[in-house]
Amino acid sequence: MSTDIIKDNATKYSGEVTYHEVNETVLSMLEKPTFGWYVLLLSCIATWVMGFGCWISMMIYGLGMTGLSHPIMWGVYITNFVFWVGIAHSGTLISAVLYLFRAKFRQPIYRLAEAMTVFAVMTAGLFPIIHVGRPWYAYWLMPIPNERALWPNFKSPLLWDVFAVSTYFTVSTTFFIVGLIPDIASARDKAKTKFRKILYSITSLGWTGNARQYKNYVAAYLIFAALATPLVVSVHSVVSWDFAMSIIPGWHATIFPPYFVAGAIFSGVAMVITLVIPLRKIFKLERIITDFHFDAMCKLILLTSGVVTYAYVTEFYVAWFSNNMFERYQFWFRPFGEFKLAFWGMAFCNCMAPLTLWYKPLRTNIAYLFVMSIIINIGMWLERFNIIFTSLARDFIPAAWGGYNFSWIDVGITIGAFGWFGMWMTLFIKFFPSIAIVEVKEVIEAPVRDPHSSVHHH
Amino acid sequence: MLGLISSKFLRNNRYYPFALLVILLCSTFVGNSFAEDAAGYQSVGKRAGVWNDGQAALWDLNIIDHFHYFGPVARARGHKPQQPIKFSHVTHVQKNKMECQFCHWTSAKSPYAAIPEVQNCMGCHSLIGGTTPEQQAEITKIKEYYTKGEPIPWAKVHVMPDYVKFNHKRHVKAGVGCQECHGQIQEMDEVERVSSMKMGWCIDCHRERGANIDCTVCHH
Amino acid sequence: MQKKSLTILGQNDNVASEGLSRRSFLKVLGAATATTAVACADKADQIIYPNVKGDATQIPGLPSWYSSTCTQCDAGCGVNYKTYEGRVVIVEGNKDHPINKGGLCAIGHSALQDHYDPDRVRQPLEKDSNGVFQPITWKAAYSKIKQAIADDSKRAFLTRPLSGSLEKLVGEWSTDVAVEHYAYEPLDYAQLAKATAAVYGAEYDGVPHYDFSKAEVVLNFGADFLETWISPCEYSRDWAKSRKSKKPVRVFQVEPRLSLTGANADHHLKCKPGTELLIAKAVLKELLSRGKNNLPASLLGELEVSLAEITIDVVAKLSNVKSEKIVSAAQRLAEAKTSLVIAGGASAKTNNEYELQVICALINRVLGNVGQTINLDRLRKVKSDFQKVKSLIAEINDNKYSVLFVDGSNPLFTIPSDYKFGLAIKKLDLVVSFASHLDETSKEAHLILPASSSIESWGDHQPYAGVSSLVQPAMTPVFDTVGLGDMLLKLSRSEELKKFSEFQDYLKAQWQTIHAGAGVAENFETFWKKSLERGGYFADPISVAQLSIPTSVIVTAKLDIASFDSTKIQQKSELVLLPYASVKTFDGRAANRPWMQELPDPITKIAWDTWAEINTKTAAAKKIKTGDLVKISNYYGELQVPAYVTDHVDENVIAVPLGNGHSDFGRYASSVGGGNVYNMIPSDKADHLQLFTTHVELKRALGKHKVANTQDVKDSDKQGKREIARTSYIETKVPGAHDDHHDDHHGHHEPAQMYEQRIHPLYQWGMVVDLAACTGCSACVTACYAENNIPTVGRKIMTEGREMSWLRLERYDDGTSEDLQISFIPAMCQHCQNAPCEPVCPVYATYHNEDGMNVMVYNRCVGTRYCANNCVYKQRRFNWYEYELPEPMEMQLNPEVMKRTAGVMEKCSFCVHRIKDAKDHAKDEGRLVADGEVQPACVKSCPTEALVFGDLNDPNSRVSKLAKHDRAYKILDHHLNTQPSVSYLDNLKYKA
Repeated sequence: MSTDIIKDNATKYSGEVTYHEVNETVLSMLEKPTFGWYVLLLSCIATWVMGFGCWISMMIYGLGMTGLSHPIMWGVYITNFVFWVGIAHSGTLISAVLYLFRAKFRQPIYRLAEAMTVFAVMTAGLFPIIHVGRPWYAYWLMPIPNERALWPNFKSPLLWDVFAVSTYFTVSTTFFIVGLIPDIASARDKAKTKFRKILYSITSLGWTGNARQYKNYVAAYLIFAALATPLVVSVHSVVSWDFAMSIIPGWHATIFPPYFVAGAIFSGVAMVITLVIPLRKIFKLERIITDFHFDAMCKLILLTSGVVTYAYVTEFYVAWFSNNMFERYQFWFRPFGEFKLAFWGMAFCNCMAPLTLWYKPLRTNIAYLFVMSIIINIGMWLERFNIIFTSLARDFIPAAWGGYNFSWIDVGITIGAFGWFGMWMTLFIKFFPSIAIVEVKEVIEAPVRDPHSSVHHH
Repeated sequence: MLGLISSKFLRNNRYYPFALLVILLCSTFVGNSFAEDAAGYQSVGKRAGVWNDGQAALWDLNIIDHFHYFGPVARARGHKPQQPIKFSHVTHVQKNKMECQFCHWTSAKSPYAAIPEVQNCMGCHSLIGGTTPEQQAEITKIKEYYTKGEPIPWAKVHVMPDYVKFNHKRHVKAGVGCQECHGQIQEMDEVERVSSMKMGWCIDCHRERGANIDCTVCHH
Repeated sequence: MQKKSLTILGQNDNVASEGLSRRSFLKVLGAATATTAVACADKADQIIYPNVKGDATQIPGLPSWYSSTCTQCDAGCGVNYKTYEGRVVIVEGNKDHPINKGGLCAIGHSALQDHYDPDRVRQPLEKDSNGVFQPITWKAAYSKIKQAIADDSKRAFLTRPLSGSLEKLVGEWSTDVAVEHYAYEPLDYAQLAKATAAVYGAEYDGVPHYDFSKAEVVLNFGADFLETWISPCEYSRDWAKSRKSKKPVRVFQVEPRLSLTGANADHHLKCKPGTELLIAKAVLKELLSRGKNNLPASLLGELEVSLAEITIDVVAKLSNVKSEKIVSAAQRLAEAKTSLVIAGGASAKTNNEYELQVICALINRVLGNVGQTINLDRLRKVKSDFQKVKSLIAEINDNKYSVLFVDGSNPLFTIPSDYKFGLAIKKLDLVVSFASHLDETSKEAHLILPASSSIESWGDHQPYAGVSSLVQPAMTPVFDTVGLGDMLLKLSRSEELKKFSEFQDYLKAQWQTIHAGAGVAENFETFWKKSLERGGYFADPISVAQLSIPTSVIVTAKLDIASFDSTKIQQKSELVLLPYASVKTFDGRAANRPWMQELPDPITKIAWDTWAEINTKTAAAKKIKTGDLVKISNYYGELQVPAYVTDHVDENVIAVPLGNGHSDFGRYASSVGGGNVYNMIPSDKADHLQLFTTHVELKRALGKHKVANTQDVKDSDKQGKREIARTSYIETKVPGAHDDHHDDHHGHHEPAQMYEQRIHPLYQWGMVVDLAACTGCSACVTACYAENNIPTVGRKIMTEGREMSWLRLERYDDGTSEDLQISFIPAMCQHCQNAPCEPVCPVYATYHNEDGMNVMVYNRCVGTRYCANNCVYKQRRFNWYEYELPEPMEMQLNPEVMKRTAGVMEKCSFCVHRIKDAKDHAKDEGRLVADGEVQPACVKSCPTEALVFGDLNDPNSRVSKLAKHDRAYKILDHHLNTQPSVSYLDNLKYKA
């Protein structure tokens, strides 16, 4: 009886799999890379090298190479920064927050989500440096004792960013590595090549899987989860303060922190779906990552999409209610002005399109989900575009108003970032278990010795 | 050897944390020794309690600064460029007790403590030929420059970047001795650089004397 | 401000003459220039060059000032040159000079770039057989000319109108070497002078002195007296003086196209082209009917006849100006105690300009303005004579002449091609040009002897009686050039000219007579020195006696309505080309100066371009939108320029600024195409250049042209309710008075503060801008470029909205062409006390200092650009690129201000270096900085003293008094509580 319940849960949470099967499927992902993998890796590298080239030329000739100009001083780079930080979020959400909430659907996907987090933060972290006029002085933002007798300005939200993002990166990376240890150990035991043996034995930090280690491991994992949880809220709140703390109509809004956090999770979950679907297809993980997981993620998307939509509406309402001519003009300008396409694109991608997910069959329609997840990612990029560009384009002094036109450098660096992110992802998938073996095992039925019962079940 | 390490050491996993710790310490130590080289000027005050005593931190080797203006050589302590004429402050100031402002006559009038005009040198050296042959050789050089009507191409010892507006006049009028920045110049046969002249070094003195430390004092 | 006479530089000349090249000479002078922005300090090992010869007055690192006279136009404003180590760095107005009293126009400031122009001719050139210019020595050049003037061939010397000793010398030299001297400039005042002589008496053949400060009402037919007309700085100053007073002058402007002056007028009467005459006549008739008729009977009789067919209604119909407006103008004139009626500018240059001028003179007479606002004792003689130049051209074409001397006035560009000067100049055996540039004219010359700029040479200028101001060189020539005067002396034959070794001596000889006339006690040398230091000799203003006005006036020309057939225009809707002088390029002489090209035109905000202002209706009919390329053509030529569609020009008028469309003259000038506007003008019998009679076809050309317009975003010229540039009506608010009437938007009604406010122990620098006095002339903008080493970025980068100007002259146009509401506002960094830019900078590159200034430290800037986002006034400029200056323009860079690199934010600093300098002096003398001792470049430049700078801590300082003025307000302060240090005073307008 009790076993039935367990078994039902197991079927629900992660298909009809056994311990052995999980081990096999997951570790089989680490086997000798195929030709396709190399192609993917190289194309990723090529992309970010191209982006890097753009950056170099920008440093040589000056930021005039970008589409930026007065008064739009922040452009694609900050948009990308916010976008990637946002992507990073859901990783921690899924791994830490849902862990604390014991939400069982997270098990098979959280490892991938968290890898995504780490690499997304690594990508996001590049953009402030790319963005500044004199990147070689970017280290002045660090509070380092120096012979100029100068500290950075702790009042500046940008400095808060430096701390928020670096903290976030440290914690999430640690959390990520801790989570990896047991699985790496099992990879170590099954590793064939010498290189991998050495690699895994170093990175598994001497995991033997004995009870004592396991006890400490669980405790440590719990602690890190607890540490990471507040960061989910804090990081993107701080990022949002870059805008909320300034005086520009369209930026200067108290709603920003929750609005940004919700948006971040929204985009993050979408990105997870974008990554999981091909992975599941390529490595035949259908029996581990099931419709149930997608369904659950779609519900998360529906929720956050709702929050984001609400935030949009509130912004407009506040602009009207404030009776502030500058705010009002700004929010008239967004839907009807120079950048109206971006606005309506955002509205479609983030508010309207996700509504279709109320319809259950679509929530489990993999092809549809893949398209939807990409639509949402585009939508979220457009959201940041709207916030940053349109607000700057029309503020207080009409004589100083201006427009924006993209340059190839902007586009190149933006695409390059995806290459950078993709490269790390590709490498990770081949070198470390992208599905948490231990945690998946937690939710599936333990192997039963009695043959009859097993027969009886089949 | 490597095999041994990989086999014995690497397999024995519980040493890894210690290994990491050791590596970290080493790197910090090495880095700090670099830092010493980068800004190890005696003249830069190393008083206790001043956190910015001119010592560069591990991460702040100012490589950029080097490339940006001075270039390491011209910036380092003891930079002693080859001068077209072996002018000796010892002879002029110490032996002959000449006032600094006799030659550097603009130092109390203008932001620049200008190098004296060739004519200024000739004022004395049309009469004074020098005692030793070396001296005579140098003094004849001056005469040549003067008769050709060419300026003497002195090599700069203290190079300031163009965004530092240093005002000699104010410092001289405030009673700051030449030696405080230029070192014991009267004892130098060849002028050399003794002060880092980095911002922290300036600020330090300004703080001590309660001078203005507004950025616009030097940067505009 | 220490000033010096040039004897000092004379000594340094000796240094230069000791076999030194110009470059090394400058090194010699520039003792420590290595540390300035000029010599780039990136090298590890630098050489420092001391002076060879001592000079107790030329202290390295300290500026020396020289007084001189601006020679950009004939106004004759006094200037001071600030030099560092022998380089002229700044040019400022001379506050002791009676004409401009401290202000200086944009073109005046840009004289520096003419002086350091990389495209200047660097040594004498001779055209070889292949038509290529080859450098030759001065000796050779002189000998060639000496040969040419040896024989008795017919020779002519064509110059721009000259003045003072140089004019005298040219006269003497011409007679000496048998050369006929002709003077010409396109925008001359011959008709005005003629009319003055006709109406006030033959002895008054010249331009009278107008006093706008005394007039209560001004009726102005198109004269752009706030821009380029006769003496803009002087007139602007007087106009502003009155506008600031308790009883501001009321200006009626009648013109077919809204000029900058018109935008500042209270009532703008947009009329049909050429119908000014009708309106003038209508006004005159109205005045006569109102009993203003103190004219000799004979004259009244004449007028009776000529004004017979004039009725207000007919005029209103023809001129398309509401009759009540005309009547009210006449009424105001009749009621006013003192008034002034003037006509001029390009729009008056029709074939009835003379009649118009006569009528205006008559109106002034009947209103008794002569002796009140019109001073005939201070006539400006008009030397330009187009009639004679025409005959000269004709004779050259008949091969009567063999040699032509030309100065730098570039007549080939300014004389319309239909006058065949282009053909004529090719027929000459020898054309000698004294031009400083390879312009259209000197390209045709066989021999070019480059004349030194007025900054390098001696001279003087007598605009009118009582003012004789000196031109003295402030530095040795940048290139291998010689002053025109010196050249002529070298080329002279007669003994009395030969006895002067150089022009300086000749000048002194002339000034002996001035010294004698002055009747001063001191001997000549002291008088000379004093004059050099002051900038000239200025007699006390002559008391204006009531003049005896001739009883009968010979009005030569016929006064018939149809002289300019405006009816025809209305029916056939023909288009007339209006080429007008802009504050950017004037008549073309300022075209090769990046500052002038980069300066946005105050009305259209277009830079680096020429354009055509087209009425909205006309444009709509031809489906033309702003930015479209249009083809303006007639038999004589065609222009291809971008259109600027506006309501402010008449339907029959296409207005195109003069001065651009150079084929030669320099890299900057020739980068602006479009075609030469002068060449559109057909030749005619008239004795003056009729700019405004050309009928043209308008077509839409293929393609668009990205115009560098600094304010072209949709709706960006409408301020709506934002109250950026406020205007209040004089009827409701008496300007001078400090009445208690407030509304809650006043700047000095500080909102209650939540936090502790900053304390400024010593100074709190602030500025007040009186919009009632600001004309929008943009002199401040150019002055700022010069003072702060602001790079000019060129058209392409400007179209990307990346201009670097620290001072933006915003133009708002909230009204319609009927009820004009144009406001100009010079906006610089507001140095807020609660500056939004300060807290967001992560590295303290921008912060608030104890003097209440918002400081930007360039070398600390990392370039996050957060400050620029957060600046609500959008006053921060980012260095998107590193901008290089062509040699020798870098010699102009101001060593007091560092040159910014790419990736760094910059903005207005209130000229902090000047403040520092003033504090330095004050400290030496153990006192505080006195009020008015510090003046930022913009404040110093303003011809109308609209900008006032000072210490807000000092309750008695001018600025803090004005900041409490009833009109005072601070932009956006009541919205955002930024507490700017810059207050603005409402603009003032008459309602009706």
